[in-house]
Amino acid sequence: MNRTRYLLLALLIQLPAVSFADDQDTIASIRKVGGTVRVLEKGWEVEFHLSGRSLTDDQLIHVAQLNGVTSLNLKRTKITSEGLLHLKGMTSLQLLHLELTAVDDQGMQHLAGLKDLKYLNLYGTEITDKTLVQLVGLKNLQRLYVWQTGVTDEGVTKLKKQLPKLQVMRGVDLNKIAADFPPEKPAELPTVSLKLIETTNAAEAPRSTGGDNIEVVFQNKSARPVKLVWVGYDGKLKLYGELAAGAMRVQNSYANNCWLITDKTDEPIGYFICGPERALAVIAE
Amino acid sequence: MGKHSDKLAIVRSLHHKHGGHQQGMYTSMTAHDPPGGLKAKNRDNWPSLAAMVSRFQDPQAGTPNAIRLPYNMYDNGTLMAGEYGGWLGADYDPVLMRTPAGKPFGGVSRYTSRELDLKLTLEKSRVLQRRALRQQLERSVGNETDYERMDRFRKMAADMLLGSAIEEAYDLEREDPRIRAMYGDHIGGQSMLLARRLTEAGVPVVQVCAGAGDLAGGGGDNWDTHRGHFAKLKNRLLPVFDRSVSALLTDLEQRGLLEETLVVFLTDFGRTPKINKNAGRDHYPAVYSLALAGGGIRGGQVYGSSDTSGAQPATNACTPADFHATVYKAMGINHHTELHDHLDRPYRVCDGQPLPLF
Repeated sequence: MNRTRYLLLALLIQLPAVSFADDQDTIASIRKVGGTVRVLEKGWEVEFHLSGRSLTDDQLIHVAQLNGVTSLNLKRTKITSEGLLHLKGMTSLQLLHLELTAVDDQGMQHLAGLKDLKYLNLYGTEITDKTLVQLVGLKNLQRLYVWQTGVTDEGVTKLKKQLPKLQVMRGVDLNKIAADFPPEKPAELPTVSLKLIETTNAAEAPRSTGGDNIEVVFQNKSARPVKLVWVGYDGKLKLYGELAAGAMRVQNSYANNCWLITDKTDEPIGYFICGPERALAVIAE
Repeated sequence: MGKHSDKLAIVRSLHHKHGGHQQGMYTSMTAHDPPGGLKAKNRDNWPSLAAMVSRFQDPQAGTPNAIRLPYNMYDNGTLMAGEYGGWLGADYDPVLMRTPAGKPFGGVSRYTSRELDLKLTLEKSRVLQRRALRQQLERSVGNETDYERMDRFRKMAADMLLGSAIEEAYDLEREDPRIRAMYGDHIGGQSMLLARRLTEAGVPVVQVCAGAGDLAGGGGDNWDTHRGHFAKLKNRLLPVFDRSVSALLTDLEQRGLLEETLVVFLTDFGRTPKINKNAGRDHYPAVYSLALAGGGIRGGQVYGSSDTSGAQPATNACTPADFHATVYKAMGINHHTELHDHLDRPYRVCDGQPLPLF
């Protein structure tokens, strides 16, 4: 017991190197299997979700040997319900990530004694309402994540009666998303068309002057790529990119703005002057 | 986004003194007044918030400290200052990465061909062979510092290409198509999605530019609404912003990531309370709002207020430095820490006071 206290004192002054040699051995074993170990204010944070995803049930024993782990991340590792047996004695745990692993209802009995647990993430696992029943003893639990699991409305309602302060995150219903966010309809083409004023001299394209915000739908019906060039308020030309043969672009613009169209070698073809409304600008062959 | 107010802390009383885009962005991103003759690439500049936070992180090998998406910010073709590593040095310039999907914002966005694009066009075995060959050739080369620095980034790029978690995160095709649909088929939404995937893969800091990359005199889909403010917000900007941010907050929450992820909304300054003759709103740094979510911030609150005409802060006036100090506190960084530049000059991370938003 004194040993633990000494370790925590060392943690408070942020000198993990002062901790005991056997802790150092344990930490080395954890690092060997891809884990990272950091000092938090109140204990150790151990994570496997980045470089330790090949972690298996047996290897969890190294983590169990480290005293004072408050935060453990096993996301996307290869652990199963059997491995959770190793967590049984880790009563200092406050935060536990088990999401996207193979754990299921069978393993939850091992978590029942983790009285300090505040955060438990089980999203993307095979758990069902049978898991929720086993969590009622975790009186300090504040957040439980069960998106994409077999948990039901009924199970959550029952659990919340026992733990009224608990927030249960169910997430979005993926099958409903398609209905909530239907694919966007292609915008209808404007009914008003701008006339291409043909010229081979860029200096003939007048400067843009200001007006209301509108859209121009450029449609290149010619067989060659063209360039879209905005004639600035100061008369300077600004390239807005290329439009491939057959391509269309919806371009934000303003009434009384001037758009010069050139071929790929910057030879002018003509220009459009925007009107006060959304309009189509067709480059014909 | 209204449905997420329970997660948001909105600070309504920020103010600073710089009404130009370059100066305003620099002030907002670095929490320091801009020097005269401000230039984006000056190593004497203050580091951006993203760069400074990333200075205190310790990511896995092959993982950048910070990433920016999807392009540089420009004001009429001039590179915008404030989003670089500054005196922290090149190691802390956030790595620029191209978002590989989504309809572009209308207007001008400039790619430089230097954005990282992790789509591998060569066969992996050939890349490995070439890398082995290069390593043999390099044994005879000296150990100059510049060389080592470049080598560090080259190694990082190679690690990212050759089957790391970053490459996996970059491949948006691996995401559930329903989740992709939730974020919206737009570079704004897909960048937010990529940001989530990159942080999940261990990148400590990701910054997303949520508009066209160049302000282009107020044309295009950016927030510089000198003309047609209301129509532009309603038709062009807010549909993308609302959908992508809502999706991000929903998604972080359902995955259990919002508690350990701080979402920060930044801008250069606010807009004038008076509407101009073009139905627009001009630059206004005297009072504006920003927001935070997740990362231990208490949601469902507003802090500070503006006066009845929206001209000045009325209560709890605060500065970009206070806002930055709040971010450092949420990230567990002591904002009074002293750091040194390459000439060993001492700097304090941030001079502000954290706001009581926790």
